Amino acid sequence: MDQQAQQAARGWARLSEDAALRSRWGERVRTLNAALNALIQFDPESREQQWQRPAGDLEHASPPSRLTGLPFVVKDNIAVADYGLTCGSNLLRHLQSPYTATAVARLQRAGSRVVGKANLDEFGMGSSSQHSAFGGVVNPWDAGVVAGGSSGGSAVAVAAGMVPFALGSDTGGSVRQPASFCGVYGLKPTYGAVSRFGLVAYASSLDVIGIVADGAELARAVFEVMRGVDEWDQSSIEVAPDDARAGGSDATPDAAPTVGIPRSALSDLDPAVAEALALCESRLQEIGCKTVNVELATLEYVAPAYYVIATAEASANLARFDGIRYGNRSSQVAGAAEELVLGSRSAGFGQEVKTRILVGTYVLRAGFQEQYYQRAQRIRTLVRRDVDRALERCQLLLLPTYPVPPFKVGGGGLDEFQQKQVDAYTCVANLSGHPALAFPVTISDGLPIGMQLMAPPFAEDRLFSIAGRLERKWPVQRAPGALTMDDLVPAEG
Amino acid sequence: MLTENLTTATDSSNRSNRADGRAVSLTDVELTTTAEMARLRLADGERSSLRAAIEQILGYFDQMQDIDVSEVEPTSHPAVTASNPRLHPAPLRQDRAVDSAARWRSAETGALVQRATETEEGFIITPHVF
Amino acid sequence: MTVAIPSSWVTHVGLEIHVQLLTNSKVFCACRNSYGDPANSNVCPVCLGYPGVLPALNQEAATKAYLIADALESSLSPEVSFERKNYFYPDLPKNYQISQYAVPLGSGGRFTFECDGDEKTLRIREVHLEEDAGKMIHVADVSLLDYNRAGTPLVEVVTQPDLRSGEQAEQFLIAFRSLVRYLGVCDGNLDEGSLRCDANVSVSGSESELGTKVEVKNLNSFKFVRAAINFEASRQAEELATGNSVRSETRLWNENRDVTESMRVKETDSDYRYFPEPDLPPYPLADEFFAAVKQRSVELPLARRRRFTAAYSLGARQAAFLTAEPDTARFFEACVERGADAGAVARWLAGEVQRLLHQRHETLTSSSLTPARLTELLSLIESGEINGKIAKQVLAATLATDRDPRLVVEQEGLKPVTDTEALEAVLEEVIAAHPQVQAQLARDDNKPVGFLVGQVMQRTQGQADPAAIHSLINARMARVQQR
Repeated sequence: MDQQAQQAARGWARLSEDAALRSRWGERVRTLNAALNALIQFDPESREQQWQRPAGDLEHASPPSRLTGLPFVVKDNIAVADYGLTCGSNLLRHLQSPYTATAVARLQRAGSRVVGKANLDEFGMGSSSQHSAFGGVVNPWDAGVVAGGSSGGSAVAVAAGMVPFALGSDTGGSVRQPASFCGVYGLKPTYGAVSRFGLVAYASSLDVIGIVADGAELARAVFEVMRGVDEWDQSSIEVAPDDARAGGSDATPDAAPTVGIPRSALSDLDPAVAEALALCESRLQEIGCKTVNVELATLEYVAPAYYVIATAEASANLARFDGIRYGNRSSQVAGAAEELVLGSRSAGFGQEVKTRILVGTYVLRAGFQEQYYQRAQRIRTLVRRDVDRALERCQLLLLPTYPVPPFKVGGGGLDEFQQKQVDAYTCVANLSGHPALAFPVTISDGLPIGMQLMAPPFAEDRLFSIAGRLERKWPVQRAPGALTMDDLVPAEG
Repeated sequence: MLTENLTTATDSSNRSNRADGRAVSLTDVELTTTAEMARLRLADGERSSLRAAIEQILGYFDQMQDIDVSEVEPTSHPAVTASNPRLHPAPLRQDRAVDSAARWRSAETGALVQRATETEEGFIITPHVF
Repeated sequence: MTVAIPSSWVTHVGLEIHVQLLTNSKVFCACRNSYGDPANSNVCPVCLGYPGVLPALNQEAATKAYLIADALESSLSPEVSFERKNYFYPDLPKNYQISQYAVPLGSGGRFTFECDGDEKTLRIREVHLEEDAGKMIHVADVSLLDYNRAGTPLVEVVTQPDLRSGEQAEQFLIAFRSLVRYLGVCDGNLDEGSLRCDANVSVSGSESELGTKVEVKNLNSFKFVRAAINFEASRQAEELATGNSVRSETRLWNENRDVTESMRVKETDSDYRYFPEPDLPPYPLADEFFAAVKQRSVELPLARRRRFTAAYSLGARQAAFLTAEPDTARFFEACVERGADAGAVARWLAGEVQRLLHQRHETLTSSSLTPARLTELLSLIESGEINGKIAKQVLAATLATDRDPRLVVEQEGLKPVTDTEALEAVLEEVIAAHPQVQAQLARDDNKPVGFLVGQVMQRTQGQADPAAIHSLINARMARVQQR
């Protein structure tokens, strides 16, 4: 691990030992959050005792690690016991989670501390983080543009320096797109690499828990702790040790993989994004990578297929929210239980969620399922084949995270429908199950532009290695006003 | 440029973003039936905007008809372990019971059932179900 | 009130049986699978449908489900896969049920059972695994929800419409209940709901043609199954006879009024929008799994009945009694293995043993009677040490005091009186007391023999051996003749 990263880690780890530092940090986070609204919940003081515990004393002791003492926030659709689990929704506004997600528990056992819950688009549905019952998330680079979504809160918390890393969820790009909109790193792991137990399901066959981090090496360290089969998630996968490292050309730090770029599928890029892509390509070449052209002919069908599958699964996943067993019960109940269910759901869900539930219900209906749902799942097979075929000619794929820079908040930006249309670049990896890492490339007109690399299943290692090398050679610019540990630590020489 | 090619929500004459402008229209009955299936009550004020949004999205889905999918099977589960000998699915769960009272009624996590808004003698209550 | 169906009509009945499996934990979570506990005491975030939870399939539930399918001779699916059945109901925590649809774990199959004194083979359409819903109790203007049962493993067995009457359905269910108890997968208690049944009934003019199907629900006992099916069949026949058509619908059996009644079901509620369960990828079952299923499969009731009849020369009713419960069959064979006469064991088990167990509210396994003890009792009878009447006393004492029969006989002084001299003395006493008997004997009239035996038995508290008394009387008569 390089010196810069080590220094940063030491800084954060000092929070455990230094109550005064912790207090100053907490104050600064609150101030930042008042402006950015990245966190729905932040109260490290009420859990003061967790800082006193030695690292890894939760359940099974772990030896001190890279993650010892690091604070992190968790997107509010991932369960942490005794924290809220609002999912950005009125319906779950007062829900306290009785259990902790497996992935979070593993990080806690490794010595990291949950300090807050991050804001999000309601139930993970959105690309802006403007669809929250708790108000929109503000982008620290420019309050006039969106933070991206749905893990906007997680991305902003890291970008603004509140915490070094955060957990989010990525169903169609919800970790990667906000990470790129906020100038930080966002990992979407291989489907099945990280347990989903504790992630409130939006689309079960597309969802993964992802990582937002301020550096590639930290993202790697977090991933290594979180990953692994879980008996409580039967869609999780056990990987025999041989495959945990991609092997081959990654064995040496100077290895230079071949990177494929699906140029013919990227016809609609905003000039700033096209420029960033070219810049990224030249940097890769500079560190010794060869770049080749690959085909991704099915890219134009990715977004519609994604939305059919996602809304269909969501319509079933959100059916459980009826106010009966937990959550906000409609108070205007007279008469039958049916009224309670209708009332709770109709008052509890926002417009975007309702729209998606209705679309999803429709595409599963008898008579419609074949032309919508079945067809989308077949397109999914073709997309996966396409990606696998492309990865036969190279070790990594490079493509933009998003075709346009962070768009404006409200009118003047992309409307809901347009936002769906441009999700294709991130949705690919969700449909196919491949891992992808979004990383910062450049700043254009004061706004961050990021790119993403995709790798074969379970080859996340490759992503971190290349992104790490790029990071060391071309350090990433921090968001304006971002907090750093250096700010908080009094000059000691 | 992409943003110029995108269909806007306000552009009602262009319901799908296909060149031939094939539109999908959702009848009142279909919307009501779908909403009933999803247990969503649509207020008068939101009916038309929801309908418009849904129609636009369904129209967009029509693009999927252009590609030939006759030779392929649907993918319901993206993680494929069969083709790679180093990948194994999670093992099936052993049949061991965990005492719920001990696990979920501790002072720390609170009684699960008490989170429901209305309970009585351990039962969760709703208005009469017909 | 049912009207007998004219013989021109044929009733077609198919059943959907739900079997609640006996497992330690629920099918998708680790909550205890148990009946009768306080409301909502066996629940967790998974079976309550909390946000973020996932189902984890219970291996034992899968094994037991395949055991049933295998016993019904179904084709077994090499992968176990699930689908979501989507509908809203307060007793369904996720508002979808994890079930099977396109690929059930068992398809096709058949079941042969004793029916109307003969054997009937019923075709099975499919066997699948799913999770049960919770329980709702309606009280005044509220409904009370108890989710203890939510997530219990259920196997649904769907038959083809091969049954022809309520009686046949009842006999099938009795045999099916026996099967699941034999397999050890379910306790078969209709009143506790561990075995539930819906019927699909139609009436038509011929064997080969099916009529319009009506689903009949709320059948909580074998008796109601029979009555409801017969009522529904005659109701449909009446409709058709008067020129109306039968509406395809769901009807509920009203046990108070003895009729089936229409149940209003919304059209929107019957589109279940099935799609593959994304949280449970198709699980490839290893050879070891199927080997374990085969190993745990048992000789089924009917096969055992046939074997018993042949091997032990038993009558049909005896064989039926012995094989109705696996415990009885095991007990029987254990006795025979110890050398007891099969016929005698069968008679005693079906007769006196059953009577006493019933009186004492015990079962074979919970009582003090063991195969060793019954065998011992029977050998005491066979050797003449005790007679049948005493044996009954000994049996009762064995059950009541947990002692071996031989010990009972010794300790209670129940040994028969075999002392010929003593017996002769008693015999002479009886004859002397009854001069007309004396005269009859002198004339070589053996009419009073039975009377004499009875009297001697009485005076010896039943401990005399009737055969010995007979010999003495014969010998005496011979001597008299010789004079």
